[in-house]
Amino acid sequence: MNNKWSDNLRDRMKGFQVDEPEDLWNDLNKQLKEQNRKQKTNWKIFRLAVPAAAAVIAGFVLYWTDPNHTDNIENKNITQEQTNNNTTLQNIKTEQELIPSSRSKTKHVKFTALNNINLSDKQTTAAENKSPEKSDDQPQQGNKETAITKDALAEKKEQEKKTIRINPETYRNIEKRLLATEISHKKRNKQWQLALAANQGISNANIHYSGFGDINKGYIKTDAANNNWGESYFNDIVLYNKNTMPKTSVKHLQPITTGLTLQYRINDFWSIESGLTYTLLVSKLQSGGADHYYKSHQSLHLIGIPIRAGFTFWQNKQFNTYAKAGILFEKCVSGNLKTEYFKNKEVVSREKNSLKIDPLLYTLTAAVGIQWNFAGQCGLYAEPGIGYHIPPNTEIQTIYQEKPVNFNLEIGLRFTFNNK
Amino acid sequence: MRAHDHLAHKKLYEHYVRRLTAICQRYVVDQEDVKDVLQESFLHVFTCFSSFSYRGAGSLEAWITRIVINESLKHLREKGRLENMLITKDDLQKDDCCDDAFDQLETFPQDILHQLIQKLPDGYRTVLNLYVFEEKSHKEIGKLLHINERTSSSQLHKAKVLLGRWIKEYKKNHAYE
Repeated sequence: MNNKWSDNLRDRMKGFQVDEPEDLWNDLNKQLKEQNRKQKTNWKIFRLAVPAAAAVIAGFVLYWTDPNHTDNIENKNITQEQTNNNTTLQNIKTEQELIPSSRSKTKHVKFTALNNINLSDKQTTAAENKSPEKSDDQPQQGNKETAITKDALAEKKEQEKKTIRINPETYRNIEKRLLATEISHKKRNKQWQLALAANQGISNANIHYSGFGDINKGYIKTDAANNNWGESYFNDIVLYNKNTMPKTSVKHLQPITTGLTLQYRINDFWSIESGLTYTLLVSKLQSGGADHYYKSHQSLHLIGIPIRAGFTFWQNKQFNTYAKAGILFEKCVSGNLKTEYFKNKEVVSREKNSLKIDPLLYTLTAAVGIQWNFAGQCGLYAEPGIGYHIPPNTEIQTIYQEKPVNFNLEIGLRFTFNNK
Repeated sequence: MRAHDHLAHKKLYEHYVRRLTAICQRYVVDQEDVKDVLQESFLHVFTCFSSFSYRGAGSLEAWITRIVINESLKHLREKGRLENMLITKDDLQKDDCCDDAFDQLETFPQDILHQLIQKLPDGYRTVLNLYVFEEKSHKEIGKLLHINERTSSSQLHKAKVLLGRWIKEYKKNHAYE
């Protein structure tokens, strides 16, 4: 088929422009703002819900798989976390892909589909060759038209005035400048980071006294003379130890905490974070003599929400050192006290009671940290720190009351997400 | 961050909007629909700017234009405007002519031509747009619009004949010397 007619038609309509629809820019702007707002809210909810669930599960797994809590749990718990790294273009590229934008996803797919079909080199080079010419053609044609048709005369003049005369040079500059703006934005973007960590206190507390005792009630006054056999296991043990020196030793173990935190970077120096933590407080007691004694094991499960501010005082591409301070709010959600009675070193009875710390627990925390970004958005960090447990108004004794000031070490992984 | 983005967006918008409105009008015609399609297109441009790679002068315009056309076709499809192409009615006289209608178009007013194109029935117009302005082959058009090559070719021919006739009529009624 002879395509001259097609070429003629296309050439004639080259560069043709009409007035934009009214209010297009305003409505477009509104929609943009709406979209940005929605994206942020969705992302936030998603990120808090998933880590929260994961933290609780992780905590319980920890508890059930390791009864002796003085192990090096830090090593076991290192899994995924966020990191803080926004200085290379390469990272920017991968970070883009993490952003959930269902709209852009579908559109992007379509765009590539069209791209594959729309093919020939002819097309692209033709398009490129045309653009510089377009602007040159226009004024010429404009003149011819006004001379010719009376009807369209006024309209033509209107159109001429409104025609944007941009020469190829400026056009290229605009393109380059837009691209540069986009890149610099990504570098200075605010970031969200997700961290998964395990934290263990350094000190435990050991208490010894003679006589019989209870983890929470302390020393128990007993009077062997007035006891009768068979009234209770406790009384029997008291009688057995009538002529010996019974002793009680209590050990409050280091608190172990695991959790997920979400950190928001405000600028190059400051960040704020919050999250969800699970802490296990264990206390053990043995009371009695060498052959006849009882043992108690108390576990308390605490769920906490930390709120901290962080300050970065030095960083480069790989490393990052910072300081953090804040408050950890904890609530005891459950706990139990198991007691085993031994006669002649053999268990004769077991008891289990549930107990709980009712008031909210507050801990002031401060730490310094160092993070090593071993891959793009992932980093490993260590935060040695100190905490002060504000003594709660409760009868239940834990390490928090015995050692209110305690050192701890937190180790974890951080992942960084960029937000447009 | 917001202000910077905003300025870039505005500049981009102002530079291309009138050209894109013309292109969109050729596909979509209805004023309200044109506004909706353009809004969706610009939104896509702004949010997916990162997927664009600069390949020299004209590549940005080509990318943005492709987005507008994509959105326009999507719109037409959704409104069911592209379904009538399967029915080929022969209500046009069998003149093969009309090539001459497109000769010497340099003097024909652009806006009138634009209006005549918009007057074409949806199917004819869409195929004409893709063939003439996007320089797609009938095979490519077939894939895009889910029709076969022969239908595309037939629609194009009918568009050409109809448009050619209108152009001649206009020239006759507005003869000048």
